Amino acid sequence: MNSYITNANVHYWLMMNWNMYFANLGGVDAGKEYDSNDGKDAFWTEHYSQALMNAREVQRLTAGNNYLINKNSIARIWQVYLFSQLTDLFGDIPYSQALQGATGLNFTPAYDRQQNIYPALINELKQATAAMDPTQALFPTNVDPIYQGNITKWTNFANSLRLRLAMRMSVVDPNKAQQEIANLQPATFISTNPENAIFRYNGEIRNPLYDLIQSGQSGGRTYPSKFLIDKLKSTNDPRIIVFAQVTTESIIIGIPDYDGVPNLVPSNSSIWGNYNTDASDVSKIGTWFLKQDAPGVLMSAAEVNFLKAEAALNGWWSGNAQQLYEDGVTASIQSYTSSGITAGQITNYVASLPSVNQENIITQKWISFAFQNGYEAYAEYRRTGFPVYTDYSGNPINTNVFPNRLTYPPTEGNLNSVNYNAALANQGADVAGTKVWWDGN
Amino acid sequence: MIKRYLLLILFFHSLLNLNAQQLTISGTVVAVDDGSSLPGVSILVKGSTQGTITDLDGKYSIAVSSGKDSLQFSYLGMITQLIAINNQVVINVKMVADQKNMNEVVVTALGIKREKKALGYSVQEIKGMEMQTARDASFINQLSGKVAGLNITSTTGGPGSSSRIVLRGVTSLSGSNQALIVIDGVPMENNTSNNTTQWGGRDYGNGLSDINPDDIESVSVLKGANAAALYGSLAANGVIVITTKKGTASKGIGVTFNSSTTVELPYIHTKFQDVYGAGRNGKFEGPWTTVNGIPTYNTASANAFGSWGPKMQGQTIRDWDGQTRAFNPEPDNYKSYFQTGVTGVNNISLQGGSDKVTYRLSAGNFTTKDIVPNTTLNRTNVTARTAAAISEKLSIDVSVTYSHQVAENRLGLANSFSAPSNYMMMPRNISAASLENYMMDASGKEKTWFTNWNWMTNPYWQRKYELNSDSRDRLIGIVSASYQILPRLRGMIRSNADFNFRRNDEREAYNGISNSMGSFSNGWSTYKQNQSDFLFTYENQIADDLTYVFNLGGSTLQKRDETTTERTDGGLAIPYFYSIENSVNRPTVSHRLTESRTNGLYSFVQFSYKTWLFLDVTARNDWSSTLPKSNRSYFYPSVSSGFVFTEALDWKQNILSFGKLRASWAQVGRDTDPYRTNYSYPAAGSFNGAPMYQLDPSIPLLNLKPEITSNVEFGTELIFFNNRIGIDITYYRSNTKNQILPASVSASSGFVNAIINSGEIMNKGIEIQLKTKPIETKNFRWNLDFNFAHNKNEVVALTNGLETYQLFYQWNLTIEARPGHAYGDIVGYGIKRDANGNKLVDENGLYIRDSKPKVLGNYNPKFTGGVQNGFSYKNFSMAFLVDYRVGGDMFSGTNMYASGYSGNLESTLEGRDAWYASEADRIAAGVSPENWVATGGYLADGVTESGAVNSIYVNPELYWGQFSEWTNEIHEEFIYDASFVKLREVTIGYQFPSRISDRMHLRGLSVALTARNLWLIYSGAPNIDPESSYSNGNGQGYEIYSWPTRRSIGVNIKITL
Repeated sequence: MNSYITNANVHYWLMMNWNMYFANLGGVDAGKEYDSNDGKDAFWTEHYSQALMNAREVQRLTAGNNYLINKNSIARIWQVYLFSQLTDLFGDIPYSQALQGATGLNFTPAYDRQQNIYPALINELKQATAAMDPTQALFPTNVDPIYQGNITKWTNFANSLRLRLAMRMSVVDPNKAQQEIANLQPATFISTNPENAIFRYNGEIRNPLYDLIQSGQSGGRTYPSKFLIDKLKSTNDPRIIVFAQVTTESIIIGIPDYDGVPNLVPSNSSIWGNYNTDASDVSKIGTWFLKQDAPGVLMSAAEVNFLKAEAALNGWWSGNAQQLYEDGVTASIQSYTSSGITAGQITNYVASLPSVNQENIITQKWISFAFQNGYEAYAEYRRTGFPVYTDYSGNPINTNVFPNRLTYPPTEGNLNSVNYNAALANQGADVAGTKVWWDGN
Repeated sequence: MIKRYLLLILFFHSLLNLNAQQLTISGTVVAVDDGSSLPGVSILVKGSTQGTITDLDGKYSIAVSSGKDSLQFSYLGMITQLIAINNQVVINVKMVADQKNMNEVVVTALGIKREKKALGYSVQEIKGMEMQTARDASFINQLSGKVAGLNITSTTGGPGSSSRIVLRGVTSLSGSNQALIVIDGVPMENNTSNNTTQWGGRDYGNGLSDINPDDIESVSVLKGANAAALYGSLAANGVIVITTKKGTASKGIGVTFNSSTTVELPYIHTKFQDVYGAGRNGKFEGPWTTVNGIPTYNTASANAFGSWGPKMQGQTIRDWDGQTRAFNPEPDNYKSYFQTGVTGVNNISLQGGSDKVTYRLSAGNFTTKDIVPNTTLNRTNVTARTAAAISEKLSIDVSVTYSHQVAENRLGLANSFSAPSNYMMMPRNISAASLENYMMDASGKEKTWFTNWNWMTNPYWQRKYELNSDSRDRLIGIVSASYQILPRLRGMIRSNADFNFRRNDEREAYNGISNSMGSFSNGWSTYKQNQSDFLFTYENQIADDLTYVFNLGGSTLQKRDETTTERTDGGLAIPYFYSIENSVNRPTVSHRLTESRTNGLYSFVQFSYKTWLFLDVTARNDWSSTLPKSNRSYFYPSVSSGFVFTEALDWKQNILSFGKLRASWAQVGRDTDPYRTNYSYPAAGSFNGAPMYQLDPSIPLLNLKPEITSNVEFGTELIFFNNRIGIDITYYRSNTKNQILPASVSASSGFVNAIINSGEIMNKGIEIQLKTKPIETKNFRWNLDFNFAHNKNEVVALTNGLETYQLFYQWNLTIEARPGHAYGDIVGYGIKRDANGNKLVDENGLYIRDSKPKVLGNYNPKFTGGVQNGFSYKNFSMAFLVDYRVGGDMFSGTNMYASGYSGNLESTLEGRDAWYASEADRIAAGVSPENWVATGGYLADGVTESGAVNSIYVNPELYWGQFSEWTNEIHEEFIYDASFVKLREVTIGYQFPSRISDRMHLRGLSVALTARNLWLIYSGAPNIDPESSYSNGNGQGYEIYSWPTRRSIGVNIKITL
């Protein structure tokens, strides 16, 4: 259960820029938000050969041993989480025949259609939670980095994941989505921040954001985006103190203020002339995130509330959409422990929120994912089209350029060519513009 | 200490010579051609068992009983003489070299000495003498250019760096391609501890450099599988057999003192420009901002590197360190980083013995201060060896060697951001003094000229505070006993142990830029190797002219390698206290243990018919623990034959004095690294106090087979005009099948690769050695030797569906093995060409890059070799060695950075003035860049897509910038021909005549002036030494940030007491 492996390049440099959380201040990378990079290939490789394969190995070693049934189930839930990330990013992927290099000497697994993977993942979560047995062995607390062996919390996480997966089908297959959500009505979920599914980074495994920005390597020119900062400023969102630092220039002037870097501005644009090369007039990312042990959030109570709010809005969930939406915002703000945001600020902000609709829910969800969950923000944008991003070069967002998925690693075309070509025949060309199944937007 | 040994030996010695007689004959034996005394000539009283040998001065004395009438004088390579006594009491003898009998004796596999003429394969031998005058920290480097088909490359990491030793080309895709080293019959651990990757690291040398060259009698190079077949799986890459000196029987104690002192000078090949300084676009732009009218340098600027600024003409600037000074070139800033290195080598040896017991003791010390201050290496070797004939039948040979080496501050190689990377990127106006004087601020924090990247370290800070040290202690013991079981049957048993203990530590300085919290790491490794072997030899004859020698042997070799490393995590809790226990977080620890064993049984028969037809048949079977049970036993056969046709045909004429043909065929196998045949869970650190293990993402091959090399070899040796011209030509062809390699598989299988047995590599080539004596008179001699080797390598096949096997990767540049090509293709982006092969230029005057990477070159040379000249006139001698390499390509990262990034090279000057003038005109005219046709600048050589010759001038900064990895990344520009010609070694010696040395009570005195790496006569690559590499792995052909070559000049004195 060792492997919370995310390729930092994909997680931070693709997702955070594609979601307009970050922007590059001038330089060669400016305006190249939608350029892909090698990191995506490593993401595929590491997900399969490390994270997933080790989760599968735990299942193999515990199979048929009732005493270890909880370890087996937790490995299955974890595997669903990892597969859902892969399919959301790539579309059709090897699933049913994957991970059989050792057991079946199958080096060329067939690709499964995403519409078949989704029900299979939901089914896997149902079976894994049903199999858990509190009378049997639990993981030792220090070995399970997410829930310290607590199987109730794992069950809640699994149910929350089912809710996420069901909602993802809302556009392409609303009936199926509604049915799966109805099945969940009696279930328990991640309902408070302490129950959030969090990978607790520490000094041994550091939050990649810390390494990439604090240690100033490739992220040396990366700053919070103008899109994010302007959104927070315009709504008096108290979370701005968490997300950003006041600019050095504004301190000198004496009126502390925040400013972000515009996205999609090419490096040769004259717009960069308005910015200081030493970045003194833009905000740095908030120190809350720049810690070795800044939490890695996989799923939060806020997200569950937003999912429920959206389902309620559709009439698929028995609950008050407005209340769930406000609860989501509150949970999000409260998740930044010791942030200095007062209860009064939260009340005032929630009271000022525009009333519930899909755009507002997803926009709030997008804010709640900032610097923590780029994968989900990217998926939800593709599903819903929210929030509506701004191209600061002055052009409208070019939907032809916006990547709808990651392309498969080029090695798949050589090493697994028959199945790869079959996948393209089903899904469409292996280009970023091809949409995945659930992306009916 | 030495004195006490001396007394002991004197005592020991005196016991052995008790048989004094009354009638004695004495005299001196000398060589007829130069009159030099001959020690060790054996003298036998004809018709008796009485005998003696000459001492170091060629003197002897022997008791003769009455009735004996003659003495027999014999010496290897000389004509045996029978001299009648005729009542003489003094008999002086002049020995004559045996010209006709070309029975040169060489050391072959298993340390067996054989007449060279009987061999069916190529062997080249180098005498230890050749390595004891002009010195290198690793003696093996001194073989470079002297042996056809032997390629030695070493890294530029300073004294004691590792050497890559490859014979006849690369045979294994993924395994080691380095030759096996055997010392006195025992395989020697020669693991390279070079942790350098393209991203940086240090080279801790390899085990071979523990050998003291003063202890070497000879080095035999067994190039092909044929020569090496008896070593089995270890020897698939050929063998270098080192024979160490034994004591020789002589009267008195021979004391030899050999001392060398050399100075090393940095041999910088970089041609810097000293016209333009820091900035951009020929102006005080980029890192410069104007404060109070003075251009002020900002080290944090992303452009605070390179020399694309204005001309350096003494303008007033505020420099990187905040000082106001004149903007002037610093042509010597790189050079002044270095010092003159000094190396001292001292060796003393004592030897002697009787015909029953011989002994040799030797102690040596090698101390060097490198050209980089604070980098030192100190090595001490002590060797004792004794051989004794305990009885008529039993003899033993015991030797013990201990070596101790301490190295301080090994240099960072490749992208270690040490001095070479600093100076390739640093503006040409930055002075050495400013860097040294302002390496830290008042609070102790490191300061440097470029802080935008937080890994560029001030080179002075680096050598003063970023320290490392390592040491190696090694003990090798060999015991062997030989017993004459029957008159024709001899048995030998031998056992050896090789213990090797290494430790190293390294610190990242607290308050340094790269890791301000500091760190400390250390590691230990113990390596233990035991080999025991036996050999029975039976000699008999089938008929009068047909004799045979039958041998049966076996060996067992066990290796155990254990390494522990520790590193602080999260920095140092107490500043500046460099200790593991001072780690902020729990230190990271790793421990690794590997064990393996190979057992072998072998047999070989040597048939000789008369003195001119020879046939050897060998067979060996190995059992290796690294292979699965079902495949762990494997068999290698070999056959070789030599035919001396001049003797067979009784060819009596002067033109061709000796002629021989050789042919051989052999097969050898190679096992693999331990632990490749089963699934494993390598450790993956720890988290929350729980250790983590994960499945190795490599699918093992449960029925892995050994790699098999089949080799055929043909050759001839011809000697003309009584040894005036000798030629040796060899043709060989080898195919290595069942390559053990990790083949990539789709990661969706859960694994990244699967170990497979597949693929084939072929090598064929020709080796020529030509030895001539153009002039040979009583006082003057000239020897002129050539050697030449050509090897053609081809990756015949990989595996189905695998188009390439990657050996190296950096920034989209790869070194690969591709089917149908030679191993070592350099693959990267090139410039797009039109149908006529012209380079294509876009509308901005810059090159259009190919859409995909392609093969830009291959690192294999076309041919290599050397020319050795030796002159002697009376007591003077002079020798020089020129070695060369023709063909082969390399990528130079140094050139990429120093031109594409920084414009620090002279080659980047072209067009700057004209471009800046054009820009000034444009601004004066008030025209925007889009509407302006530049009147000068750099004009790229090429045509536009419409076919017109390019006429668009560009900013040289953009022109050079387009090739670099940050922009358009066109590797082709920095692919160079790696050919070179070097004056490698020069020695000028003087042997004092005996009338002078006698007066000084010395047996011999000689002095020599020596030089190594004196002159890079020709280089196909600019600004670097094309031999520079950072690693000795299989990914050669890639150079980045090499240190300067060390040019050494010294004096050697050899005294024999």
